[in-house]
Amino acid sequence: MRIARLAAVAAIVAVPSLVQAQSGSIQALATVVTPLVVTGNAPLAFGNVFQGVTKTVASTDAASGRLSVTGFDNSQVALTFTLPSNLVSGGNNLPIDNWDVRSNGTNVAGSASALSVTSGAPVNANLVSGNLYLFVGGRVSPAVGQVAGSYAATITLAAAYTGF
Amino acid sequence: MHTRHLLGALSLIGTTGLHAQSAPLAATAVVVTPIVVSGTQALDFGNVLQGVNKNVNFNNTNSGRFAVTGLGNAQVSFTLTLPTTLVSGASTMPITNYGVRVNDVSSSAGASQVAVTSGVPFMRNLVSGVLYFFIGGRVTPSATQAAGSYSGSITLAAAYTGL
Repeated sequence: MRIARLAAVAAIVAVPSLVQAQSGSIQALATVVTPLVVTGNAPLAFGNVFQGVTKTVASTDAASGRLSVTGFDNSQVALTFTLPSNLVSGGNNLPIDNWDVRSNGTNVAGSASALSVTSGAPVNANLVSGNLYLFVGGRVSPAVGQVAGSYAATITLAAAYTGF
Repeated sequence: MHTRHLLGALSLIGTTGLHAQSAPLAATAVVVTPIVVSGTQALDFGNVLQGVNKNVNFNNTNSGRFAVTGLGNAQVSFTLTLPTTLVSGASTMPITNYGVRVNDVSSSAGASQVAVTSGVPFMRNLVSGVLYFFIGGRVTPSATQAAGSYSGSITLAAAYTGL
């Protein structure tokens, strides 16, 4: 009789292990952001300049340099301009300075905001709508004895995400 | 003579009836608290950059979370099914380096590391009737990873193995 009772209890307890299985799920999520693209759209063109006469092109001028950055909406980017200190023509240099840089979320120079830029030093900006337009002005200072010719140099803009 | 013999036989039968006995046998059952597995938070890597790995550790606020409730002190077999890639349309992005921890309280602080292989059961006790799981991992987007929202499912199955 004792044996029979033990066997009955054991059988009842063993049953739940066969039926009490449950599961739940969660999602693993990630968003690969749109890569940054920096495009140079127009050169900073001073046109013809005279010996001994400085010439300025404002960032809002039609001849200002134009660049654009596209990327992920509302992201923060570090912008690093590399600005030449001279335009070059063969072995001759023409100083360039007084950089005037502005940025805007739309491609309109007139309403752009001033951006304090030092060559080689990152400055942060936001890609509010995924776009940022940059307008670059400056000044060339030809010497009285400046050699005639076509002078050129490269302005480089690097951009990197810093936050989202 | 014949009659007497018959009476004797009936008497024997009657004697047998007097010796009948019964014994009580209890039928008992305990319906145990069912196991409930709840996915309480996604493992969320947020925004990631092309070519830049991103880790979310088990103790990060964005780690994946499960809660399991059941019978106190019960032994439970758990099986995690972990994706090897997250998917966005036809694009896939590897997910690796899972880190899984478990705790009796809903905090990653003090949680114990669990060596987990996807699809392979491991045992844990529901000491206080509840267990919390914290899951971290790493995504490794390629340099040309297509932009977009990627996802995959992490599933935790649980079954009683001992009570």
